[in-house]
Amino acid sequence: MIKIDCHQRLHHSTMVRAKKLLMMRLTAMLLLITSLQVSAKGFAQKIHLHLSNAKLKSALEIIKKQSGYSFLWNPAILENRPNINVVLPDTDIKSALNACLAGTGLTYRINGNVVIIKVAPAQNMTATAAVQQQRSIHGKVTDTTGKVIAGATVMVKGSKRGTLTGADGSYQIQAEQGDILVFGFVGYESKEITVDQGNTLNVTLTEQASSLNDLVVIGYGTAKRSDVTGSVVKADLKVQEQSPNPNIMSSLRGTVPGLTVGQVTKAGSDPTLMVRGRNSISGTTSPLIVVDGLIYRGSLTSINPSDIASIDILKDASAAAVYGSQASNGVVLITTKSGASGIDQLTVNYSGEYSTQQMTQKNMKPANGAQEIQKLGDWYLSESRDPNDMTKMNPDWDPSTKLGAEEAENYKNGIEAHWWDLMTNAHPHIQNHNISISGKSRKTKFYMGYGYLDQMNLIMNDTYRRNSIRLNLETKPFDWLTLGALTSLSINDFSGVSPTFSDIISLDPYTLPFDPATGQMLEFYKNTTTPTALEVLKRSKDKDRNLNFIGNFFASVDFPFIKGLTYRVNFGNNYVYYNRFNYNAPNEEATAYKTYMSDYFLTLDNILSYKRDFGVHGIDVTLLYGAEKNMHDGTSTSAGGITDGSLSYNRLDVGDPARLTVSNSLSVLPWQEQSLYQMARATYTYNKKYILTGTVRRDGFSGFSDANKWAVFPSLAFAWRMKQEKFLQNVRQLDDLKLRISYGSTGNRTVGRYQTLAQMNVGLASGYLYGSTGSAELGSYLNQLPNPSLKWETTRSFNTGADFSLFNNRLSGSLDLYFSNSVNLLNSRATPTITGFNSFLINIGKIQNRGQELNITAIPVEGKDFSWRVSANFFRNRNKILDIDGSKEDLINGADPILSYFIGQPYGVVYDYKITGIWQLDDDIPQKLADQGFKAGQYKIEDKDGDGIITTKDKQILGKLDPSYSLGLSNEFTYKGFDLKFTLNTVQGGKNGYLGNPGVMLRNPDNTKSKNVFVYDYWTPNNPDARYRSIAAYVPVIGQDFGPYISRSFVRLQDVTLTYNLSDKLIKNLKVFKSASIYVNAQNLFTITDWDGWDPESSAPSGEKSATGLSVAGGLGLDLNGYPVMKNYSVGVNLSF
Amino acid sequence: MKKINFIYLLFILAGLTTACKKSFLDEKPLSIYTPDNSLQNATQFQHAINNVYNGIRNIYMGNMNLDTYFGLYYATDFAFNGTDYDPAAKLNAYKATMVPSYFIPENIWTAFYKIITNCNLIINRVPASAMNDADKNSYLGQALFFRAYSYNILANLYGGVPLELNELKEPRYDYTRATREAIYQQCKTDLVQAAGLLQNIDSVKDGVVNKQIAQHILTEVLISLKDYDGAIASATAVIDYPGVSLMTERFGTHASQPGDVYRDLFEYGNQNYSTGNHEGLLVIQTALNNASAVGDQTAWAVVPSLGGLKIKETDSKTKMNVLYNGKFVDSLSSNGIGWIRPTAHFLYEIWGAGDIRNSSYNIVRDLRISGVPASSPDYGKWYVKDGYKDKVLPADFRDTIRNFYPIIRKASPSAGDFIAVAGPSVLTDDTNPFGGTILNGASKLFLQKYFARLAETYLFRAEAYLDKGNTQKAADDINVVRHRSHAAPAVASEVNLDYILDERLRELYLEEFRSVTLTRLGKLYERDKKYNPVSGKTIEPYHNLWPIPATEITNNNEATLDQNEGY
Repeated sequence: MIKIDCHQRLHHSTMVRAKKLLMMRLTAMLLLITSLQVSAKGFAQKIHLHLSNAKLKSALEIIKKQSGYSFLWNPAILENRPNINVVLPDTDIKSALNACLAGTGLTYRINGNVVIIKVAPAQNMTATAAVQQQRSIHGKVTDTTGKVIAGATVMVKGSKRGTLTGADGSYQIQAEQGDILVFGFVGYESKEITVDQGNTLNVTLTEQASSLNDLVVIGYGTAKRSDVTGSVVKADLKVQEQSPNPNIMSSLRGTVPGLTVGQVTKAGSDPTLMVRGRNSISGTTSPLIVVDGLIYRGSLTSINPSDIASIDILKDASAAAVYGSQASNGVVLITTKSGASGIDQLTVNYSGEYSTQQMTQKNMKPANGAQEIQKLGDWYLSESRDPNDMTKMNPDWDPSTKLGAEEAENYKNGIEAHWWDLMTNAHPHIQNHNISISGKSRKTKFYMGYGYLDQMNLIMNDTYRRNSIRLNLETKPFDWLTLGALTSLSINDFSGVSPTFSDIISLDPYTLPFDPATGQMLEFYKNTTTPTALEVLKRSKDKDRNLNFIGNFFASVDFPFIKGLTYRVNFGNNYVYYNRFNYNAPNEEATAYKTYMSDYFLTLDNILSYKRDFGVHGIDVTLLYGAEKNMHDGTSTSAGGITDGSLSYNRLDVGDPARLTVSNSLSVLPWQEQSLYQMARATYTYNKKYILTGTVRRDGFSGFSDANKWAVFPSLAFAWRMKQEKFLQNVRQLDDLKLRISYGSTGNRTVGRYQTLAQMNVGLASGYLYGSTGSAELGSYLNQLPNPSLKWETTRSFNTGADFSLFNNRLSGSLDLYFSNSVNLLNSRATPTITGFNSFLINIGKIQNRGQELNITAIPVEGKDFSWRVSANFFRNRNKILDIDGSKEDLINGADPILSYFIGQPYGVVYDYKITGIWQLDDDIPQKLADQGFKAGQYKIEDKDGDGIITTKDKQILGKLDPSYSLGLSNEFTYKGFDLKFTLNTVQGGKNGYLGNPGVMLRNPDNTKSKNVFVYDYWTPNNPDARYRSIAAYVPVIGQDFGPYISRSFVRLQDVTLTYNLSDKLIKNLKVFKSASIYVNAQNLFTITDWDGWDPESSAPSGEKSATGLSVAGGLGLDLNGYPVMKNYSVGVNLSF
Repeated sequence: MKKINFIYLLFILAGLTTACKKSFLDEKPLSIYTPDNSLQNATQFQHAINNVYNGIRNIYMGNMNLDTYFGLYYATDFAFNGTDYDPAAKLNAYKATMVPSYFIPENIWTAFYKIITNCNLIINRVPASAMNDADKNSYLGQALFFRAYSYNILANLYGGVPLELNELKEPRYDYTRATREAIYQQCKTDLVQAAGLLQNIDSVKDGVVNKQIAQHILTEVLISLKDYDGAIASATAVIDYPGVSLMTERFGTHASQPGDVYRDLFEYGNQNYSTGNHEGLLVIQTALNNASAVGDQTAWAVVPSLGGLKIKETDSKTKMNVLYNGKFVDSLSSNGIGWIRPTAHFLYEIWGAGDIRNSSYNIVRDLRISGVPASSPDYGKWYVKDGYKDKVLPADFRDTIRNFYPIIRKASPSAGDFIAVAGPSVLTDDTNPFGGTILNGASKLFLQKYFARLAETYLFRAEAYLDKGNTQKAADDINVVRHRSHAAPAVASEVNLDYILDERLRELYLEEFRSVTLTRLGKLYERDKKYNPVSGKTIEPYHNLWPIPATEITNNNEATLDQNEGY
């Protein structure tokens, strides 16, 4: 084969944003490879061809000129031959001629110094006829969204004739009736169309979901998917274009095997992410986010999804190893858009969308008056029920005696407040508008995008507004130099005094914010000086905004002296500026605070890469030397006792001087952390069949003590492109097959800055004062013991996988099996509080993970008008604790049911009492149990040790928190211009898996009685089969927060989208758009689950603890601090001009 | 041209890659103090000791888990829990709740060991510090005092506990229990040393630990060590110190208003030594709207939940509030929730005639009905005297458990002080028809509070005399206290430990941690069984010591921490 320079250059510009451009070039190259079969030798003169859509005659003239040969041809036979696209530097005459004449139906003979051009022998007899029948077929190639595809190949099947589409997607080719034209483009499924009478053939190519020819981002570079040795998944972003998620990752839920994405409930918040199960005990399980090649530490929500071109997820050690110490949870690589479309052509895209939302759990609205009264009766069971028959009400029961004076009055008069309606938005919605312009000239390309997102969530004033601007620019001042800037600004606004859900739910329906006589809204609750909840919201003010600036700059140099050697420097700047101003006026004295914070994340990467093929040997080496410095600064001032609040938070000084304080919170105060790293990656390819990749990364982080500052993470991977082997080349059903195997280690930088240092907490809150007029004095105490032995967590993992494609790409997919051991896991070991501390961090735990991932896409039907495409992904992970504290013994950690660890069991088991039922009125409760407080309405607990009483010894392992498997299923039906997609998503716990504790956040009996709540399934004599105990009491030995564990397993109809793409004809007639589509979408339409509460898939706020300090297991249950998951209905348009 | 550009770039490359030095990865704690840089001079030691005072105050004012705090008072002969759970909870059912996994013994344990840890830090760092001797003595003395005080309470509640006196560099998991006596011995050693280092009460700032409070606590420790002579000597040193005396005459901020001297002791602004009160040996400091202050929730817990108190109005036969709008009135007390519900023994059985500690200024036993229309025949009647309380139906039993019982005013300020103690938001413009301003909310009061008073020193000495068999001397000391309150003098023949415990109830109700006193004397079982109508039903003799928290035993996995018998 001939070495093609274009290939080299292609790799030099590793600009991932130039994906489209690269694909075009790549296609051109592939076309040439298939066209050029003959290698010529022995001619002294070197020929350099650079022909683009050149006439055959001029091509021959050029060869003639450069070679010095004489040429002979009959001008007639050069007529109506296809134009030539050839790039051949440094070649000989035979190659040049072969290249130019390939597919033209002509051939040549060299006679001394004379070249004779003639009609190819096979066609000789019919040449004239053939030429006469051939017509010029032309048309345009676009993708499903209507975007033109430049550089697509158009070949006449069975011949070597072909051409490429131009910048506007148009082509022209000679073909005769009955010829089959094959249209192809990298990353798209090829299409065959038979030429009929018409001269125009417009073609739409559909993208391949898991094409092996895709370019994937692999960290500090890109690679063809076929060359990738590790487990890398490219996410399908088409879903995102039609779903109303402010956050890109939310769109990927259920579509990427091994990726778990939590539900988002609050406007503008980030979902939780996890790749391939848990590798850490106390550290983060969230993958590393990399945006445009630079580690991103800001909020995901502040990146406008419509600016994103692609997302690649690195899952196994070998793929993630380039990010070494921070990669054990996987890496998510986000690439933003760059200039697309043709030369000197601008593409303008607009997408707009409007979504309305509904609460999925309508039964969790606060109780109305009647329900509240019912609850009161259920609380005072002995008073409210007939003593002879507890299922009947006592006629003398008067609930008003348990109410306050006003409340009793309103109850009697039947007047109640509908707090829910007063404190929520009737029509929560999201609107989203994006407009972008992109284009390129020969030396420069750019993408400019503006996005506006406005979300009004369910709870009053829970809003999120994002304005984002992105400008990506890349220019080539010299052939060897590329400069670029990837910049964005997003302004995120969360302002608004929003009540918490528990605020709303606690409000008594009979405590009225209006005058019961007149209906007039009141400033104060009747007969009090307490402002109503609505009034407090009205008086209070909140401004919560952040500005996120990203300025990433790069320079890339193609070394002119050494082919294939490129040096690139990335300079990343991410500056986030936070403002939080709050003024809270619950009574005549207001409090206020002003918080200013900034984050500055600075990265400098030097990347040296060398990529070159030597015959059958291919080498690709990347060296990295980089540094990162993260800085934070901030101050928060708060004031109290503000009586003149007319200037709200802007005049903190007018409050009580004694209450003007400056925060000592470490999340506000300045900090700084640095890391340094080096990485080397080498890939060797033999004959495009065997690929070996080795990676070593060395990481240093300031947060570790001198003894453990550095760590090294090596990995090795091998891939075998079996399809390239002779024995498979004839298996026509098999389009591609690749086997992969990898082993390596990655780290988790669980230890944060300053965690190894002894720390004193110094602040006024721990201080004191002396004397009646003493001023506040600081207090200080030791809040962290020194811990210099903390070190990196390490995960060693083994991955084996296969990528396959069958039946002309009608069935494709990949299968991965992995096995990993995570060691030195940071764990907080409970210590006797005699030491003054509850816990101490140690690197000791060992966890093992095993899992399988399967991703399959099939196209069962593919016709001219109708096609059906289905893809499924399956993920299963099992983990096991090997050691927890070095002793290889179980660790029962305090009273918390989910913080105990058992060797050989999964991480996160539930260790608690087993409920066998609920004691009923007729039950004969053993005296010993009755002494402990067990009675009708309380849980019946299994007495495991049989001693007749319930003690902590009766706790047992009830199940695990992690699911058994997850499955996502997407279907897409296309009929003419219509496209219907839906995604089903399920996570299943199996037997005793995926457990959650939905009732752990329910209130204790006192507060259940005195405050309002939603209706839930608690025990009463009338409801003996309830899930939860009676509301009026609990058994002390099992605790007030104890409740049943319930599986979070669910099946959810995640997404349904119906799109209509305007037909080409219509578009042509309208003459406004290049393409247009309109769609309707619904999200979270239904969820089938036994889970109780808000949502099985969303989690309680991190760190949320129950009233007695127990951890919340996961899944948002009957949680008063919870927040609804919403159903979305959207309508939107995508237009391209 | 091309080459020159290229060479420039090579220079940039070289510069970038060599710019990072080794020191780049040094940790820069921009806003964090470490023990090495923050325990050097007197200011820093003052900060460290302030935190210890704050820790003590958190316990004294309930600024930890509230149920835990209440556990220091109720489930004793003084009070039970007023919540009406069925089955009984929160120490109302001893057997069911006082178990090793229960949070009350665990939280108290933790709170005191945290204080001990911080004292250990100071004690171990003082010698090497750069302070002068006077400062060294002061901080060492204070830290020794609080360490001994904490260990003393732990030994009283739990018996022998693990003894840790060092500043730890890393955690330990190998604790064993010292004997109760060994703990008391350590307390004695620390307190004797502290008393030698500390200054007299009249030469320190308000609220600062002094020689007298050290000797006072030492008295209690020596009684526990059965060194009664030593205890008597120690108590006598306090009593005889000329700077302290019982307050026997009206004094302070409300001296000119109706009242008595016992009430004066608890009026807002009357506790500190500098205000002329020479009875308080150590006063817990707090102030409204001070960034280093916390509020006290004791009054909120002990005052009945009057807002829920209703009567059947005579004319309309409907239930109406007893109090105007169902709100509290500042002439009565602050807001209450009726959580710590005193026993009948305390409320009705221990009082003799004339004792001002039971005067209507200190315990309000009746109130006028203001919540019905002025036209109602019930309007202005007395709730108890006029028989309304007696008419409460059994179904409304809560009324007598939680909504109404005599109101202890000790932890509440008086009318007019609320703005200074709880802030303006607690007052409304309304006034009660029978006097007083309506209160609106506020569960925390910023009122100074005694850590110990001289009256208790007399009672300690009486206890020591009694233990020696000298009942006359014991009666004499008791009578010093009783005399001030116009109570009839005790006679030697009636003085025994139960008498002293009753006297402590009369004098120190809601001041002493009753559970601690009773466990110290091994009398919790006996007196709770006898006087507590709720928890007395299930208490067993082994409850005389609290259980060692279960998590301490499991977390201490390199040695065995023995549990107390019976648990």
